[in-house]
Amino acid sequence: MTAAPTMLPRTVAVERQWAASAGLAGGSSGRAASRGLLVVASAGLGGAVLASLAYASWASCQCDKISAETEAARIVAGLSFVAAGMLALGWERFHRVGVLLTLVGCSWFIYELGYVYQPIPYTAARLTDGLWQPMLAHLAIAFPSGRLRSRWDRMVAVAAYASYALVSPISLAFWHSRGPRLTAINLLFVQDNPRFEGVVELTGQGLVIAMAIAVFATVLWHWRLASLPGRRALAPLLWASGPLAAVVGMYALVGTRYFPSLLPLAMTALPVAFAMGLLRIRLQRAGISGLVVELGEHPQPGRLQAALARALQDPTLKVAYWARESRQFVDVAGAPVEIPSEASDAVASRIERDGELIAMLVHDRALLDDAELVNASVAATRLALNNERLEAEVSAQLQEVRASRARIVAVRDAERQRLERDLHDGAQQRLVTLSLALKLLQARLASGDDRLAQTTLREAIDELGVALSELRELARGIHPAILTEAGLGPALRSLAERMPIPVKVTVAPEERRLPQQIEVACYYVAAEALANISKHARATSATVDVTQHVATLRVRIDDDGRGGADPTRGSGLQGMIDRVRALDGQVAIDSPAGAGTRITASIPTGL
Amino acid sequence: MDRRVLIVDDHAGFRSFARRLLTAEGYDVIGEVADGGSVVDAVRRFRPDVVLLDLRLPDVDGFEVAKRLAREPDPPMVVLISSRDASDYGPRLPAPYTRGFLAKANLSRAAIDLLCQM
Repeated sequence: MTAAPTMLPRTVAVERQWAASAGLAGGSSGRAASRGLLVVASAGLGGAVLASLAYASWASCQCDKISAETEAARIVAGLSFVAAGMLALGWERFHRVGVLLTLVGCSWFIYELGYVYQPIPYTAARLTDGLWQPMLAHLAIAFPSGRLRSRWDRMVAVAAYASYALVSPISLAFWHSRGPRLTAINLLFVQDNPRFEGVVELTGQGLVIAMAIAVFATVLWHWRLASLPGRRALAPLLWASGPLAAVVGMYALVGTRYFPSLLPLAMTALPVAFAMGLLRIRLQRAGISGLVVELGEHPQPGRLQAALARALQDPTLKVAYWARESRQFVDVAGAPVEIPSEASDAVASRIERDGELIAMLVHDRALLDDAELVNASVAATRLALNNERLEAEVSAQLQEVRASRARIVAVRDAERQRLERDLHDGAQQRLVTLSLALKLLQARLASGDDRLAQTTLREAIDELGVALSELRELARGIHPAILTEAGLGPALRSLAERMPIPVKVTVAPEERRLPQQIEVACYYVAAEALANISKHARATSATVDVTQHVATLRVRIDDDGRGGADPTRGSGLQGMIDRVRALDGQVAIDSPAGAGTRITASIPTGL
Repeated sequence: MDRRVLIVDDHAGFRSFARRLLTAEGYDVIGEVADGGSVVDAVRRFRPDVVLLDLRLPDVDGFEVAKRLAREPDPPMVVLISSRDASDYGPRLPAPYTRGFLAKANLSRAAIDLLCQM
């Protein structure tokens, strides 16, 4: 318990349980590794077989077909996707991306299989030879995690697949203009309707372009929202879409007759871009494993925050350690750190160890996209984090002790100054006046004016009476004599009697005496609390309750006033807290606005 | 010759006894002022010969009031008073523009006359 306002992570925008114990050790067994190798090998083999089949199909065809250069460019493009897929499959984390890349590469080769001029293979090939398009859209939207994260992402992917599934069979049903030989082996052919064929083809092209724009916009949006590492992974994809868009644009202007091999060449840029994105993420990971090396066994204080900021590429990153005793977040030097509110650009993520909060990572909101990276960084630095937390806690305690020592000295000095002023303005002034009065009395006695002398004497006696009572009041403020003479109960009751509102005092057990410093501290907690009540609380009644437990004395002061007491404003409450803490005690202030104030101080009695 | 005296002090009890004492000793106490801000006006109005000026006043301190009075044409003599001792003020005493300092307990016509003759 403490008087300081507890900064519980209630204000934290996103609380992710990044328990450092989460399984990120990545210790893959030998069996898993060989299984991974098998997957990579089969993807490569599948791609190679399909590429060979495609080439064979193209070579064996004696009819009107694409040129040798275009075919070569197409095979390079398809194999590039397969190769990028193999690269991704080789890494557990990018398994989904690897599968999609390989599938795009494999379905790319379906086109050539249509050169087998037999009804079933031909129809099947024509029906599915554009399947790589929605798959590529899916891949681009899901890159680099391989998952469709938002509703919009899923919508775009579903729309890509659905529009392809709709348009492909319909266009095949009216696909006549390529010649009677093809309609003969096209099992889905319905009728020769040039007008309808044109409409279907235009609709198909329009849908493809619309989907391409939607996908590009989505990737651009992902890039915009991504953290710096996320952006580095997505950027190559955005560059690669440039040449592709240029080629498609050119075809739209002059038709596909010219430079037909340019499209597959531009397509080749895509698998390269995906591979580059993955490699960039991988390099980032290497940076994290470097973290541990960089920190070594006994990192200097503060190194950890700098290293994490570098690894996560967020220069604003701060590690806020949870100081258990003072219940606040502090930096490694023990200075309080503010946890950002929900509205700001920064967010705080909890770091726990064995279910216990050890720190908050205050970082840019964008890093939330890459929770895994943050998670891995935290896991890599778990030990160092906990060490620094302990250090931060000690620093915070030291700072608190220093601050309270300084405050105690300042309060003592201020009290002495006030005392001097009170003496000067009060008793001393009265005594000076009294000496004048006596001089005047002397003069009047000398002149034989008894009546005036009587008046002066009465005034002098009055002045002396006031001086005496002022001195008594002052002395009570320095130390209440009743406390030493009669104990806590009578002292607190005498305090309560001087209050403008009714105050009920209970002390149990009444007659037991405690060491003087404990009684004095308890008295001053009550005196300060009651002074605040009469100054600020607008209360109608109050209670002071002193109870003795096994080894602590507890004093509790309640009022029914307007609440809102804050030890950070004004020095009275802080002085009370310092006084109690100096005796290893604690003060809790519960003062909700409008609902009264409860101050509870617990002081160890050492009995 | 009866000197015309203005008493400047925020403590009413002191002013009252000081006035009666000095009057009994033959001074003409022509006015009392409780704060530093009204001193200049009072001096212009009452034209005192001597101003008994308390160093500790609720608004401006006596040193500052003495400085302001010195700028007046034909300024009065200023005697600083305090319930503190002269040694409490260290090098600030003797103060410029004043005739001297008197602890309040030692207030008497003889003490003021002594300072004002110098």
